[in-house]
Amino acid sequence: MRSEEETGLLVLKPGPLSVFQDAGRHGYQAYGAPVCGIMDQVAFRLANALVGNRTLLPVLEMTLSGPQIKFMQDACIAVCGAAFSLECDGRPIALNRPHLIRAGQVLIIGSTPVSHNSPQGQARATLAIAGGIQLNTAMESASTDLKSRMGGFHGRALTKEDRLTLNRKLSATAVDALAHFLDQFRIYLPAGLGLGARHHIRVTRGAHWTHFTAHQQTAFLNARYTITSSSDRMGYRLDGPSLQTEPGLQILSEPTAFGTIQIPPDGQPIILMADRQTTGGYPKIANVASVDLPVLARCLPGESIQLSLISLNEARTVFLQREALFAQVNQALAPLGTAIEDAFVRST
Amino acid sequence: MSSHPASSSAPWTFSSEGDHCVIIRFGDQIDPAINARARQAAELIHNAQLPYISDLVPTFTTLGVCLHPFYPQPPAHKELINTLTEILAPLAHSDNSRDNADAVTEAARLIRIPVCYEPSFGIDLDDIARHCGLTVEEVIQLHTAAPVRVFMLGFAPGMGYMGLSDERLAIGRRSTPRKHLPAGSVAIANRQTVIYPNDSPGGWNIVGATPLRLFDPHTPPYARYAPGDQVQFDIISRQEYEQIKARTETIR
Repeated sequence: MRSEEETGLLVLKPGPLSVFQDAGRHGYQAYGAPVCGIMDQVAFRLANALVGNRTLLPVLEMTLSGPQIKFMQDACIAVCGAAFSLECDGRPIALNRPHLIRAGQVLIIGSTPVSHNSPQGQARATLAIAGGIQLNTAMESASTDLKSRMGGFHGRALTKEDRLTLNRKLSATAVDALAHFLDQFRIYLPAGLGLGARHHIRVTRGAHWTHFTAHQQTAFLNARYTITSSSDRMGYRLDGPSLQTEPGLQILSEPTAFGTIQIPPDGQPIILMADRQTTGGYPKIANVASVDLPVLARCLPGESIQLSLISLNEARTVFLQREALFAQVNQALAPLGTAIEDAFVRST
Repeated sequence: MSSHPASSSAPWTFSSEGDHCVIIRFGDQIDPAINARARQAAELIHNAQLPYISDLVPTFTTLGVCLHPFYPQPPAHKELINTLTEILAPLAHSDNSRDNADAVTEAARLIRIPVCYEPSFGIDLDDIARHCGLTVEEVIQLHTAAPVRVFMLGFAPGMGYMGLSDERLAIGRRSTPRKHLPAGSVAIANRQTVIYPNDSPGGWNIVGATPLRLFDPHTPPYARYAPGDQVQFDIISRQEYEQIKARTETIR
């Protein structure tokens, strides 16, 4: 029985791994604290823009499948990233669009439908809520650090019967008009944002690239590597041609980055992802270009990827091109922000 | 991918760590003077307040300079290297001598860490003593004889790599890492000491345990020690360990 006073969201089913993430715990790596943060930065930014959040608020990152959530109050949501199925009270609703979910309705975020034609890029999706959710902050970030159990929702993944509190409340007199506005709003998302699935990943030369022979470098770039099942938010372990540096290379522990590809003693590459340790002592053959990290974040274990080498300048050029597209998209979506902001009950 | 700055013969090199991070390399061995340079460089770059820098990560011999992933117009690699070279100019002219390192050492904080070396905690003391040809008492005595330097924090939040211990304490890592070590375990390998801040797996040799909490994500300065600090291990009894532990938990 729902009392008149009951608000927020009730988690009916949590999904395999649903964690709150923001832009990351930046500025604390010198303390040994991993950055964590969102795996798919494109889905994160787009979902925030679609619900009119003017700053990048924490979102729910869902792996393989999403949760079932009962809404105890009206809220505006958007889901971006992998093509997960999305239903509100049994009615399918679209990805990459804002929706008004009414008090009492149940949102079901499933996995990618089996009938879906593409086997690629279906690992992670992102749920944003207008105005955001009350979360725990540690070292200036609400990102969940699963290992240190800090940030996000009590430092852990969602579980059944968790209750989430929203930061803002929509005005009862404004929601009907807002629902209509959202349904009518036309949204065009350029392909260059990198929302589509791909298996071609661009890399730049790593710190220890020259410690691998020309033969090894060629093998690395010509092979298809398969993402193995022991891949997670910390790193993707690949399976393919084994690589070894020249014997006797000793590396003292040094900084790593999102997308660093390191070669451990067994010769099988590991791509470091959002929850990576801040430093590492394995040889680093290459780094994934920033623009391709979201593509990788959506890849599932079992999929194969093909790496290709680009220069730092090319990596920056494609990054700037995507930033320009984001600026356009943000401008086009700005009326959403105004409409949703106007529908919120004014905070006193 | 290393490149020397075009303008000078500065005693460091740059390498890219992807399109959003640059590593500055000051040397290739564990040496307080080299490590001090990485820290001094971090301070100079921090003071320059470049808006696109999110993290400065000093390690044994390097400094990681990370760009914020959402900064809309990050500088090109060459432009960034030129900017950093300018900022680091004061370091290029100071020589790489011992005096420099000693100056840093004098300014360093001395942090005292109580450690209980009783056998129930120091589970590898017998192995270490046998390997080094010492008695267990001598191992403990050498481990507490003089302060060690915190070279860097890494692996886990608040975990410092400290050294270098007396040459007679030379022992490598264990051939098989342990799957579970309790938080506070004090361990040695390769003349370095680490203390595991959380329960975690680990391959180093355990000499004892500290009752102190080493990392608190909610209270600055978060970690009990920072790179450049000097750490002195103080021998405590099992009873003192329990008393401090009880106090630490009450504060939490």
